[in-house]
Amino acid sequence: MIIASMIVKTETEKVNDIVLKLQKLPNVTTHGVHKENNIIVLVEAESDDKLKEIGRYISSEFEGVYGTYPTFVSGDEEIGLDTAV
Amino acid sequence: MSLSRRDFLRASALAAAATTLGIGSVFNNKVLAKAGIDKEQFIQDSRGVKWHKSVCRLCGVGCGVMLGVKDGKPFGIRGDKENTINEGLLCVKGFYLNKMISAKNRLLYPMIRKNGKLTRATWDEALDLVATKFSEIRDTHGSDALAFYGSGQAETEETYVANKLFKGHIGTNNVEGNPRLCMASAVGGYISTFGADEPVGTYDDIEKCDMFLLIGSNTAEAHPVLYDRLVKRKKRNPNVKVVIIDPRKTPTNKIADLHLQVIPGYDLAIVNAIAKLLIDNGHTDEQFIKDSVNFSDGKNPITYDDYKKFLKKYTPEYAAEQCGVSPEDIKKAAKLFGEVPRVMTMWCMGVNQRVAGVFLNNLIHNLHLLTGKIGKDGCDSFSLTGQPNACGGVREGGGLSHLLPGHRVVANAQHRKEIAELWNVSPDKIQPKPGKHTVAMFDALGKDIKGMYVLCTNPAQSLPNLSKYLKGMEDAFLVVAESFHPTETTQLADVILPAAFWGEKEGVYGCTERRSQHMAQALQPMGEARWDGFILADLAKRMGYKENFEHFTSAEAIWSEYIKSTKGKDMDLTGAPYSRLKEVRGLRWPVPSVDHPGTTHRFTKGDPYFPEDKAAGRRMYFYTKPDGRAVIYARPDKGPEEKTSKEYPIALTTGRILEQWHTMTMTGQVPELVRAAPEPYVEINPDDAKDLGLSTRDKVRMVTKRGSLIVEAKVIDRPRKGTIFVPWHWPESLTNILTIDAVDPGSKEPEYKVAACRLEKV
Repeated sequence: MIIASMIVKTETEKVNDIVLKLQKLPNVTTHGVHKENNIIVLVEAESDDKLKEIGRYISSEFEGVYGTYPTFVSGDEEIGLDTAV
Repeated sequence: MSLSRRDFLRASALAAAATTLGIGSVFNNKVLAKAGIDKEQFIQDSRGVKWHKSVCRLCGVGCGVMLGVKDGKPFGIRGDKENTINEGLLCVKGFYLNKMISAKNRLLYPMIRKNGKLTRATWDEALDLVATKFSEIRDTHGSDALAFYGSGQAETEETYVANKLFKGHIGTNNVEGNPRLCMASAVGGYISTFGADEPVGTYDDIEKCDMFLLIGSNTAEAHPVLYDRLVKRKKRNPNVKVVIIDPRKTPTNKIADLHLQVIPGYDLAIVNAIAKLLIDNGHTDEQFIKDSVNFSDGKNPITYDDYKKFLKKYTPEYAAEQCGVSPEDIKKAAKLFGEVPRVMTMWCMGVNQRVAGVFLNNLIHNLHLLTGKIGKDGCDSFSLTGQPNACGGVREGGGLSHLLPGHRVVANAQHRKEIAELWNVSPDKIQPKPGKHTVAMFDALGKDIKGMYVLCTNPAQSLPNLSKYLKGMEDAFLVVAESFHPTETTQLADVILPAAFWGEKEGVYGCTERRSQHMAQALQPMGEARWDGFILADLAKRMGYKENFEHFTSAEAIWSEYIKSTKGKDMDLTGAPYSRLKEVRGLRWPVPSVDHPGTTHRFTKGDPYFPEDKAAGRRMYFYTKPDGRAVIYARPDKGPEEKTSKEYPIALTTGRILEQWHTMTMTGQVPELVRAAPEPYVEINPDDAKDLGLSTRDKVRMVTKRGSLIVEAKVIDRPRKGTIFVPWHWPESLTNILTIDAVDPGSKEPEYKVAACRLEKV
């Protein structure tokens, strides 16, 4: 399970349209618009494959998006190495 | 009952985003409840995660990153909300840092080439072999038959140990690093104009700036978190203007008010034209010029009037013709620069990777000196850095062939004496003559240079005119300390040494704005990997230099020795010991004592070394110049080394894309990033594509005088007509076999940004 959050920053007047578009993407949920133009997005996927290129897709394909900025990404469960200090 | 792993991760992710936006408490209550997550349980479960403070491993912005460890494993990465550089935001590359740690191609044990094949070895076998071979080479051919090639990604402590070993003990100044390929022209510009390397201002100026002039920088993709700060500034203040000078339309254009889309290699004329217009329009700060500026033609002092005469040629019409833009746009850019109170110019590889890189850096500084828009809030001439520790480790630590630690140079006898004392060696041990610069060093490899130690970089992919240098790497005794294998360089090595990666080691990175930040060790190195600082100290002992390296038992011990070299210097870090750096989100030098807050603007009030007496009422005193005055240079509009011709009519320019970084040694390990741009490609302007009958995804051959490469065409209105853009990341498609290895005569930085080529449909 890979879980990540990001903030999508948009032009203010387009923020609601972009929320609607984001809600149509698979594996993506939105969690409100904050401070005018910041959308909190949660991406959940069973594998790395499904997490793919979401940031770029949103940045490049959605008009009015300034950028997508990750804030958290979970570790890989398959690491399996006890490496803590 | 504990939360499920999924709910715990969801809650952690949402909480990180909410905290970043400064809405943590309200958001957590409402949204966690709606998501069916017990907030109190989340808080309790979170106690099992230990978060370690660090700095992003990738570009030079210096974003704060927290690396979480739970049950002995990397739990996750989050942006560091408390770090004022990024306030919790990351970019896509930083997002995958923890995946790089656990990449499948991590190098887990030393390897030695036997009968042409790299085979597993013990540490003792590998290091004994390196020590024996290096000693033999030194004794047989002299110390200059050895070389070290380091990295702007290495920690300051690592570069310091290497410098001490090679310059101070082996006795060669053949010590270089990959910042020679990206930042050397910025160094040359700062030193010649201001007398000292690195910017006057800091990122704090962004939030007070009225106009951003971006030259040769795709900030949105190369420095996304910094770009977000520009976006925020413009959004809050719609009158803020963004002017771009670049041969290519990029995502940064989303916030541009004006784009001067120049022919690659000819933008010096524009900057001179802006300088002329600033004077003609009465937008100069005559008192500042009188107080704090000298003029020079590069050889001799000249007068202000001489400079004005020099600029006569640079009318907007002349510059427009040279650069292929409209004279009206040049006038608009100059008017904006002159009229708004506060301007920041930012630039990156598009300026530095040029045979006229130092000149162009000087010309940019000229604009700020003419208008006095420097050394005060919202104003600076601010070079953006490509690597996380090019400034801290290599520029400040002295990791180039002419430098010594603490902004010293090998050519200065007093500097050699001071460093020799610190290193406990005779001053004679440090040679007074600079060693070979990067391109010359690799040219000599396999000939005069018989052995080389490469640390944390991949020259077999990143050198310009690459085909010319591969044989030398094959012929010489090549040692590569790396976290990943294979890379183009490890495949040529005689010995490869597994190095601890980010998160597995402690150290300091110094970013673009003179800020040094401590990174905690959160994990044990994978496999048999060891920290580069210890590997180098171990090698030093095996080569007979035990006495001066045996006290390097921790990163802190090395840092503590290093900062002694900065005492009393313009880059004083003596107020930044580990005990303090561990507690704060970095300190911006000069920081001469542990109770000093660090410095926002240099050479003016607030800088601890600003000499009020010498300044005598002047706002700025450049104390790194003999008379306290910075220099405005009359620099001609030198064009590219290789001009387009009938046979090679297209200008080829190289660069990077959002998801990848440098030679993909790290980012190539992340499937998501690779899939975002899986195939090498070339961007071609639609008009050029039409002329050649090319469509997107057609195969196209790019031919230069040095080689040819077939990639997919991407027809897109980004490069200007007559120009192509090629990202240089993919190891299976080595873009640098096409680029030229001509260097700036001052900085010795190669001109990656312009080569003449032709296109052939395949």
